[in-house]
Amino acid sequence: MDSERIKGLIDLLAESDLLELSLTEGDSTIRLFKQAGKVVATELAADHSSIPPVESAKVATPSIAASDIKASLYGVLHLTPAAGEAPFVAVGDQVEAGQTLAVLEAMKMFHPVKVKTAGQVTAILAQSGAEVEAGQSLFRLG
Amino acid sequence: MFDKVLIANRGEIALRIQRACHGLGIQTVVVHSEADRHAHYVQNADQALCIGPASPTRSYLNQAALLFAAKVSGAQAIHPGYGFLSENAGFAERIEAAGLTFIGPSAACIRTMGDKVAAKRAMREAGVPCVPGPDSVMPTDDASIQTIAREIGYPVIVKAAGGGGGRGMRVVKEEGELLDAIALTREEARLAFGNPELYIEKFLGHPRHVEIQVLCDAHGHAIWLGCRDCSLQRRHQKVLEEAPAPGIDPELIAKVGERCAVACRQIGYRGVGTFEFLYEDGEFFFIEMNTRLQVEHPVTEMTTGIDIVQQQLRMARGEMLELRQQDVQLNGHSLECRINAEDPVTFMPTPGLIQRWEVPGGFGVRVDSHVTTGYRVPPYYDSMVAKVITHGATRDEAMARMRLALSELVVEGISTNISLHRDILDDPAFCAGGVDIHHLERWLQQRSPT
Repeated sequence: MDSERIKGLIDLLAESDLLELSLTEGDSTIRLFKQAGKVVATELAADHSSIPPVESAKVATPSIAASDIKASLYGVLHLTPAAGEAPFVAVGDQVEAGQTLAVLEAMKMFHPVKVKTAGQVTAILAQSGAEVEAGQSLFRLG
Repeated sequence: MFDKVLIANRGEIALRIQRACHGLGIQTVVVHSEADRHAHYVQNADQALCIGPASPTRSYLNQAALLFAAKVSGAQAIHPGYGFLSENAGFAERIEAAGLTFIGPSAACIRTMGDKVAAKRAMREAGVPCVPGPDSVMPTDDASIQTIAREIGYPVIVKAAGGGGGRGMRVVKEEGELLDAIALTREEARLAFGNPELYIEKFLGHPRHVEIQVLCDAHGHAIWLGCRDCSLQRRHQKVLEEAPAPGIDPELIAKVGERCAVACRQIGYRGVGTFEFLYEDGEFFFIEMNTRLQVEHPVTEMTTGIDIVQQQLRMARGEMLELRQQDVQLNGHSLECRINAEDPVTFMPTPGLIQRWEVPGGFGVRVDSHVTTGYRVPPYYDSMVAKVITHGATRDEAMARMRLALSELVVEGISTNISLHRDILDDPAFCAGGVDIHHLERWLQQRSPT
């Protein structure tokens, strides 16, 4: 795709209310998305599906352990009370019994993920915004 | 006149609208989020466009994306379905400004009905019976508020002008509680609806929820299509609906229906709409108007034989209403059970993979659903997965067919509320007909051991 065309698309996105724009022409795909008001472009090679921007976060390898806090239902995991707020807990935090570690969103309803016994969070096993299965491990306590 | 409609919704109603369009020879553009990509109805659309990620605010509520999808697909009209943007006056305006047709009433009508005080005033002017209480915003000085409440007589209910659907309201039993209740509700209304204005009405203790369906063209014709009883509710969500409302004098319903049609002509209403009433001790009291297609429209279709969605499309195309009031003949009785992906006891949502899906059939049975075996109910949206609708010559026959239909419905992989519906259909009070809007919650409390 020539640079003039890409420039044109950047302007189009900047002026619109859209957050993302992807366009495939022949064997090239361009994906534009807005980040804090700025347009960012990634050009992808043919046959590659677009990859959403992933926040850098430390994610441990999921495996099941007895001390894991698991998802009670299939839903979307939120590690913060609201967008832009600090997470409920971080790795290394000491948590009390009954404390909320995350919320699971399913069908417009929010369900708190609570810890039954006190302990220290040694790992967070899923990312905020990810779909998690019922029974999937979310946190590991030490 | 349009011949290509963009369906700005998802699930069963997207499929329902698609069927109505195809029945009229209209092409469909189905827009969908990434989470709905693999749904069967998306594959069956004449054209399907992905408009964003799973989150509704970034897909089904993204007005710019919807308008852009209409532009690139060449759709000349947008059907909003129910929920999402269906009662958003600003969206209707943007569609019309783009030179497209919004399948619904004018933005001005949506706006008037969205303001519950303005709606009440418009209804009073048309002679529609309303809940006792002023059709003006509450004054701010304590003495005037107390006088109004005293004139209405306790208990009263304080409501947000920008509320609706059971949100933003508080019951006040005696004068001592009034001012605190108002302060709380005002703050909630400011936060939830961006409009702190309140109004005050008589609180009815044991009403039924009865509503009137209307159908109007853009040429000043309006008719009403009978009534529905939606009293079986849990947390203001309708669970099971029926048409007509059992045990109410048809002459009284006709009188109220006529007033609704008059109101539609007066406000220049176009398309389909629903007047919601509380019904108590033989009297109707208007509460709000829904300026869109309703989930429970099929029970009216079954009893009138009129395809409401096709009529809605034809009215939006500018056609003259061919039906006259005398053409609307009510025939038999119809029930609708909303089948939700939720636990029948705890009501926890149960999204997930449906491993087996067998729908009932036979005489007088209709199932509106977008679900197929292998469908994964996404966790992002409403929990309704199907509507099972039955029709019979009598209410008893419609109930018997529903019991049979529910016994044939097989859903494996996720829990649903099918067993709750089966229990309701065995409840003597429901079977007798005419329970009030608190009945289901009371009944659930009594049967739960906790």
